[in-house]
Amino acid sequence: MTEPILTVDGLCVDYVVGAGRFRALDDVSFTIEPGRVLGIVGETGCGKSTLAHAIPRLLPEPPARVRKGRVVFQGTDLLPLPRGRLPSIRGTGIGMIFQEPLNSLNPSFRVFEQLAEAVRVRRLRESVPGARGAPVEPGPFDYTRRPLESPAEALSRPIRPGGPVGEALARPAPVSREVRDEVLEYLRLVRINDPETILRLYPHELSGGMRQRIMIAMALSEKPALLIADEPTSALDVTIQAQVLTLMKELIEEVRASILFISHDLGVIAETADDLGVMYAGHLVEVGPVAEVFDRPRHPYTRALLRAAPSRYKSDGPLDTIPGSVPNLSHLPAGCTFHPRCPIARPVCAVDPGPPLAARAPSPGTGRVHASACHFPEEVSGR
Amino acid sequence: MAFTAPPPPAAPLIDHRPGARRSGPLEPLWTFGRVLVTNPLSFAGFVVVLLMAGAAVTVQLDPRLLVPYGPTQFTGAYHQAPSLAHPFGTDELGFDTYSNVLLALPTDLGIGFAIAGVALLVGGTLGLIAGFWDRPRTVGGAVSVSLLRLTDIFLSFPSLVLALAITESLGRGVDQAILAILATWWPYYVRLVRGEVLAVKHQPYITAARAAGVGEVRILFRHVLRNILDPIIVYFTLDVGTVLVTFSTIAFVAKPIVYPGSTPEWGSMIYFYQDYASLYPWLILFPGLAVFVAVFAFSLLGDGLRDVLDPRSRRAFVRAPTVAPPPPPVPFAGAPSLEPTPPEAT
Repeated sequence: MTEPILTVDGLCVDYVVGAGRFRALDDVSFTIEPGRVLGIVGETGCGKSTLAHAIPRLLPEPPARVRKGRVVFQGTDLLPLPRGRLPSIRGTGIGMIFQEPLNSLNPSFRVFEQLAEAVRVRRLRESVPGARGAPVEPGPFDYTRRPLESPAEALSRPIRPGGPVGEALARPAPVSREVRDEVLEYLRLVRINDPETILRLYPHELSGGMRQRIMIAMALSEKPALLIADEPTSALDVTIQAQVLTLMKELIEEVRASILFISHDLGVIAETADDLGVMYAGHLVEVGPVAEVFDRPRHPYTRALLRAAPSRYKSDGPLDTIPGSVPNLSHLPAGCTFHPRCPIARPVCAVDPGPPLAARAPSPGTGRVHASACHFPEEVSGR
Repeated sequence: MAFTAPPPPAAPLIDHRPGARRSGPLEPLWTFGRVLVTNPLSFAGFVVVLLMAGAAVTVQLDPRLLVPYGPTQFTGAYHQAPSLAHPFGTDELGFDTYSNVLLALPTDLGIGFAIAGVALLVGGTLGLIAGFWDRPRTVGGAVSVSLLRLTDIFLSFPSLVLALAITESLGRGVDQAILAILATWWPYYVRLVRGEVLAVKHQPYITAARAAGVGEVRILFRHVLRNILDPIIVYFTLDVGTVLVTFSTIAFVAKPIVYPGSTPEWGSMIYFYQDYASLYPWLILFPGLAVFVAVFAFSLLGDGLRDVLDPRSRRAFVRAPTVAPPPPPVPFAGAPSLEPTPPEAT
């Protein structure tokens, strides 16, 4: 079995607001292997975005607080790292695409400057291996393969200071032909017509779909080993969503990076992901290969979620709903958090939170883990 | 609903006509020119500021080009009303008011820029630091809190009274007055810049920059600073005028500058001539007018700058109305009228 690129182990994140403590993530564990796409679904407020921000440690602290857990990226646990070393992990190590393309581009910079900064960050790190924090392995995504450096080149290279101050002091290289060409290349990669014109525009002059494409180009231009897409389409209207999703699907084929794809849209996940994780009230309740989870769900929440999704083939009556409402994250029910709404709940569910996902061995058939936090996973698929 | 004619195509978002949008290093200048042309008041402010700056530089280099008399040169005429020979009149010592008002120009403008500029540099830097690194229970948070308490102490005094007290204790002189105003001026910039940093640093695009692997120092000086620069430049421009008024007030009350003397100053002129206000009003009218024009010109320029610097308001100039507004919807001929027919009078 290959070494996973990201291992999240027992991650707990609280939001401390005044006297209240909200358990946004509770004991979340999963792994992403190189080149696989893990989709995370769940309803609003279940902690999907908190998870996406917690991995590269982008959560605002306070109010957020990582209580315990490990986030091991390429063999390094990110949580105990000093803050000064985080920038060397972000971008080239873990890239992100955000939910709000409208606000995620700096309004004062032209498209070119936004993209050129990402390209320059990557080039700086490629040219100075190990100068800033941990050496960052280039991701499996290698769109333009760089020739290896010869010893003579390495010796003639100027030595630059490291650390955040060094990066701030390093003069931005003059707008070289290479950076410009590379920026244009990435704009074409995300299917932008007439990139020469788009380069000169400010974000407010672009449509939402265009801005999200720029965001995607920015993330890809750093060639991250792991890409986190946090609901990249939810702020867009339906037709643009379709375009961006088509683009994402094509890019996933093209770049073959490891991706954590977060969405509340089951259809999107079914088309893009290899593995699927289902979240409920801060817990990861089920993980497995996407087809298996869809065909044979092993957690009652997954089954209820799948039944509640609208399908164009099913028009017999109203959609199924899940009885009850989402629990308050500051007063979670004891035991399994889903048991008050669960149709197959038994007395043990109100006491015992269920087996931890990490304890499950890979299923003998596929070699891949299909784990469920339910006490009675066999009963779920049986019905 | 009535049938309507299809709407005409919308105006294009970006005007691609030749000359409509120039790019390259000179683009800010083109935008600036376009803003000035469309906004006559800013244009007037810009011209007046330019004229004053030009006059100040000229007076500083060679006063004889613009100024007919020296600051304490006897003209031979007492209490002359404004005339061609003495445009702003003369005083009871026989000095030319016009010459003195012009000779005060470099002093007053220089003081305005110097005080506002140093306050901007000192207060702005402290404000950036206090706003960006304010996480509680860290070194940055402690520095931030202590800075803010320090500004609170300064801001809890009425600034003019504090400046007067410092001037009095430091003694007479332009430098002392400048120091006194500076001491009361920088906390405003700490507050202003810190507030702007706080508003910007939680924006999603800052998180996005962080996610792209940009370092914290670079985020502060490139991403945050660039986005708060516009309101600060505008505030600075307006503030030069405020400093001018404050300095004139201090000159009027605390008399740090001896008038008549080698360096005339508008506030001290007004102080010196105040007793003659009813008899010879031109003696205080023209120095007062000079203060007014300078302050007004700077605030007009500040407004114009705001339009230039904000790319979102710049759009108004990029998207020139090329297409006429759509005509009002024409009801389909066969559609029944929705208006109730008035009952006929019988």
